[in-house]
Amino acid sequence: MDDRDIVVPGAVDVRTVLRSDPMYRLVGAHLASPYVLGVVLALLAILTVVLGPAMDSRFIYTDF
Amino acid sequence: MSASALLGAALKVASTAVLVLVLVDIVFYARFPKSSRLADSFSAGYLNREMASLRSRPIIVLGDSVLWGYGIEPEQTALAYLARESGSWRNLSFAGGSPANSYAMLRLLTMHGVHPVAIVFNVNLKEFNAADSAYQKLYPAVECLSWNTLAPGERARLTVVNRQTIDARVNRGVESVWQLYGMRSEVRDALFGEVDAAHALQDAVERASGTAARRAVAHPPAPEKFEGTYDLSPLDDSNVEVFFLNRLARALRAQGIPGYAILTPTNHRLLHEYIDVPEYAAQLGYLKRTLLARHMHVLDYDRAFAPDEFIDNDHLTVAGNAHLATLLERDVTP
Repeated sequence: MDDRDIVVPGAVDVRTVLRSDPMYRLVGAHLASPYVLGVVLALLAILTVVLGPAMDSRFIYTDF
Repeated sequence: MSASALLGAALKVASTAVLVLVLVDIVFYARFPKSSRLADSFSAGYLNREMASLRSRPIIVLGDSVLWGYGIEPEQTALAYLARESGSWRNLSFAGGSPANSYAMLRLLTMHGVHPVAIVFNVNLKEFNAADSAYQKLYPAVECLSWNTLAPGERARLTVVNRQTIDARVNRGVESVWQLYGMRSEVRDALFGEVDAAHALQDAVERASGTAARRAVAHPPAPEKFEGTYDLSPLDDSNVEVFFLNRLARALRAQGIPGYAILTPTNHRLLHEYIDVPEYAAQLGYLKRTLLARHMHVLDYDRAFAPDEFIDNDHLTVAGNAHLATLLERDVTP
């Protein structure tokens, strides 16, 4: 909290809400987060390749 | 967070992602299943992998969709049967094959140091028709790998298939270092049995709704469908596929590899109106003489199959493939 924060009596701090989310514990940990993010990015890249549309048809022939 | 801390985190993210991709790529390349024939639509990376896996002294089969086994399962093809009988047969034919492609494939085999005990290839008259979609072209993956092995005079005869734009070159560069990306069409085919997930879903919907069955009944192979498939004007060396057929035969002779040329089985009952004419016999005779003059063994199967052994004009049923296997087993004796 710094001196620009407006304190409303009885209000819940947004940081408390965010940090209580299970995902925060996964990606918010200082050591684990870059590595987890790297694995997630790699998996996203693989899924994009596997599930992506066939943009280039190698099958260009009407052989039959 | 300071700039250096941010940079450090970004480096950790990037290196982790690359490490995971490399590990997945190594496992994928080693474990991707092999089939008794080439994939339906194959990439340069896949073809390279197939070439590298060839055993010494195989009997290599080069050709088009007739030998590949269009319309039937991989294990039902004549070549799969022969491979089960004797492990030395290897089917490298594919839909869209032609004499030019067979020649380019031979160059690739030579480049990979493969010394086949024999090469069996088919000669399909429809591929000598300049209006055929495969005429004067190499299959994209074959062109990609073999282009630099061809002589300038050979390249000049061909129409380039692969795009030469900057994005296409970058794409090929990525394909050459990332196997999973390079072989994405084979991965999708293996997973979905189609070119991509969207087409697989469409197929499933059409099967469930009965659309696919209704379409098959509505469009049986009829003679009119094949009007224009064969160009029966006299053949000579100016025909690009004749040129490459000669190159193939000459290269086989030069390398001391016995060559067996199959004159492709043809459904004369279905095509009677178009091909049971002297011009067709003259073309077949010309190719036969050309091949014999180059010391090739000619297996004339043009009329060797009954009409009910065909799916259409030249593709064989499962029974037709069993018949083809018995003929090849009898005739190919390197």
